[in-house]
Amino acid sequence: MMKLLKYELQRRRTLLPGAAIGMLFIEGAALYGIYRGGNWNTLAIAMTMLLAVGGLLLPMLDAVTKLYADYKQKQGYLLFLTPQGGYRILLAKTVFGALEIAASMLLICGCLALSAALLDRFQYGAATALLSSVGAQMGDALTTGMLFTFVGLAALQMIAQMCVALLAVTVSRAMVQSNRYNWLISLAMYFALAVGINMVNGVLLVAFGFVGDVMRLIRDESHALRMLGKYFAISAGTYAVWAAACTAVSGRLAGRSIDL
Amino acid sequence: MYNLVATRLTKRYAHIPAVDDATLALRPGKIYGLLGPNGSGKSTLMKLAAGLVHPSAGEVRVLGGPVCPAVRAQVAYMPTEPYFPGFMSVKQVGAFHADFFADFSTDAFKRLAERMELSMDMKVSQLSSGMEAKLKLAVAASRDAKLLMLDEPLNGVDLLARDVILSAIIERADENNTILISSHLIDVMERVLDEVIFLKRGRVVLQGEAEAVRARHGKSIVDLYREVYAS
Repeated sequence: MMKLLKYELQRRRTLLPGAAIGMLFIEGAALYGIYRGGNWNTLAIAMTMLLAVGGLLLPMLDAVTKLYADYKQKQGYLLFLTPQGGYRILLAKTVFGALEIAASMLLICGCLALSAALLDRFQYGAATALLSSVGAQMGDALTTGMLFTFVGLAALQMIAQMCVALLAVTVSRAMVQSNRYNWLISLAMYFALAVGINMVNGVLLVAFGFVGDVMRLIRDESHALRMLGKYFAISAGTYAVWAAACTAVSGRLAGRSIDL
Repeated sequence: MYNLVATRLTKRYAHIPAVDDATLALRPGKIYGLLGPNGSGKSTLMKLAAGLVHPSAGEVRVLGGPVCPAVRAQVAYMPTEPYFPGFMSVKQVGAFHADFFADFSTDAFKRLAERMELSMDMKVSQLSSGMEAKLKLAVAASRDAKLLMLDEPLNGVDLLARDVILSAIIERADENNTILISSHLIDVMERVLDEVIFLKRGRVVLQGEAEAVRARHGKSIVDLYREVYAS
């Protein structure tokens, strides 16, 4: 596994620093917007959104394009001639993608913290004021819990989505080997499965009493933290099962059905 | 005990057979020549044995079992296409194979690369097609594999390098391993082959010991090749 991860890292030795520099450049533009204030805040908001969306999508796109290249181009021989099974190759790609997503989220969080610090410095403590008012309304523990739940679930959801995308690429490649609309089949399958994940997650939340819990929460806010933990665990479990199932099916297909 | 056995092996692409009902068995200690014109199924047959493509029908068994990761650890396959990523250096290509294959000898790789005038620091993207062909061969020949398959090892290689490659192939041969070579350059390869397999439209049309085939047909392998494929 470590050897496969080493190869995945090696083949991205220019992409990863380039992506990090790009993200820092975007953050630089956001900081400039905050520093100037006024109408320049629009730039700061746009750049922050670009940073968050781009930073989360980039690892997924990277994982998908690398796998697609391994299936379609001759460089895939290098990987599939090694004494590593399809499962292991796909697992390594998933683990590497998950590490990329985690690193990207850390970078995004760092950038957001920097932006908040600058916002406080140049715009009269705006970030602290916002956090204080949210904390006053919901309590500090709940605010912190929500923040961690949101970040954690976003990361887990991205990992599950990435595994779905890898499965879509693998299935379409296994089904229609040399069709030029291969990518279209992959895309359609990805969207269908991605919607499927969220539907299953939604059904599970309802099955575990989400509606009743929300009603109880309206009456008594003290349940909020426990409820947050419960639904984090359910969603995290759903995403983990999806990611594992997609990786297992992709690995089996890669090892037994895909012709390079 | 055979190192490679294909039984009624068929591979179809969009219903067109690339390998068609091929049956053959390769013994250890022999160098086999897989001969045939373009599109006769030589590369597909090798890819089936290497596990890069999967049979549509029939079976291929390598070292006594189906092609699986454990078997691939003992099989060295040199495809005809360039396949090393451009970002890798010659040294990194060697290190990659040393990481994954226990039978890969870094010393042998360095020696072969030197003989083939490949600098360790050169990037694959900087190599000419001939130099990349030499690199592919250096990698394959640096392994102590039970089954060594070389698909067109002389393609794009200059006259002087051919001798280096042929001697590297002969050096690799021993009583335990099987070497399977496909080539259009039969006149050059003929002298190193113990047995020949003629493929025509994916089917095995002739197989036997090179010497016996020459004696039986009263002509060289090159002349026999012309006769088989001209008709």
